[in-house]
Amino acid sequence: MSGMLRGAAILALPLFLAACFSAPRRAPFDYGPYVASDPRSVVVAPVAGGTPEQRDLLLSLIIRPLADRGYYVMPVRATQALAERHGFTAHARETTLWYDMNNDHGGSVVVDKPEDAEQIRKDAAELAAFFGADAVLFAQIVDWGHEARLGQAFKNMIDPAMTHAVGLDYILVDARGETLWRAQKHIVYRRGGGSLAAEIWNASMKADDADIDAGLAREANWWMITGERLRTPKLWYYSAAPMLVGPYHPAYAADRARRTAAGR
Amino acid sequence: MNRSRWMLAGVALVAALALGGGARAAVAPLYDWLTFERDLSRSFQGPEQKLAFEDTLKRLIARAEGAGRKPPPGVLAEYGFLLYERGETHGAVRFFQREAQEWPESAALMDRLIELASEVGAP
Repeated sequence: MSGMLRGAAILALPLFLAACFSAPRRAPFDYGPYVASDPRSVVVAPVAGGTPEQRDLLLSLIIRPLADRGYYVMPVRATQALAERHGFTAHARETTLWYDMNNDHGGSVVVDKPEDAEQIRKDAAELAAFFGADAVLFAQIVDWGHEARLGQAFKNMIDPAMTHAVGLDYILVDARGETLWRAQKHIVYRRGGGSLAAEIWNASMKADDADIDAGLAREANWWMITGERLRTPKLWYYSAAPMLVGPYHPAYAADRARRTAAGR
Repeated sequence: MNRSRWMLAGVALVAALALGGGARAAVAPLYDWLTFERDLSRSFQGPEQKLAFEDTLKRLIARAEGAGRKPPPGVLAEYGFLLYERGETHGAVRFFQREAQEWPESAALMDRLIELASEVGAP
């Protein structure tokens, strides 16, 4: 009997710890306007922030999870070319630095300003009308890069300790200018450094630094849209507020019925 | 004996948890994408990289036709747009029309693209 209790305790421990260490629960996201607007098609607005290469890569990454989520996604090369031709440009919002002392995690974040909200509302209406889309997804790159950690660069000659960071900000706005959904994700990944042996070992199978950044962007993008992790699925790690499933998704009817009944 | 039974039960519970979590995590993707993502991102880099993207689009369309399904959203239009960029406007218009047929949501954009392709000359 005591063996049974011990077994149960051992099994329960990881569950308990996972519950303790998961992120604090935020207030539930209000999906009311999203459910009411019920968009079928999405066009991705020109991406703001980052370098041209990063913007192109992010555009390519957004399409697939969006389509697999059940939406019609406007063809991205055609829409970007048309947008450029007709003078639609990205509106980059101001960012500010933040730092969380509790987990030594920091980066950039978009500052919310009323004039930006007004601009996005206007852009959304124009882009949706131009492309005949129900909703417009605005993406801004707030962080995307890597740097050697200060004070470590000299110590680690072969594989310097490096911090990679990617931060993205998405807003989904419908044709009337109503904000349906908003997501932000910031991923920081530290690697390298350590003992000489570890450095040699790590350097021997190290990916290109830019590829690591791209991998983080892919992960952040997937996580924001689907609410699931791409590479390393963990049992207790889901986004609190992913995009709702769209009309081409098999779970769409059930999801809508449930949300309409629940009033959100 | 008793101990091994409990170990077995433990393994079963962990497996059940993993499967339960997996069932939620593993939503089967709606579409088959092949290397669409990678080739699309490279297609922005230059005309040579566009060829790989074109090849992937062709394969995606052929696979969907073979399986009697529609290609993923935007694939027919992306292929049409590559043809348009190359100056093959007739082919481009045909694929824009197919996209509009398969995905009614694209109708307004496809009209715009057909209009663009019908103008004289490539971009």
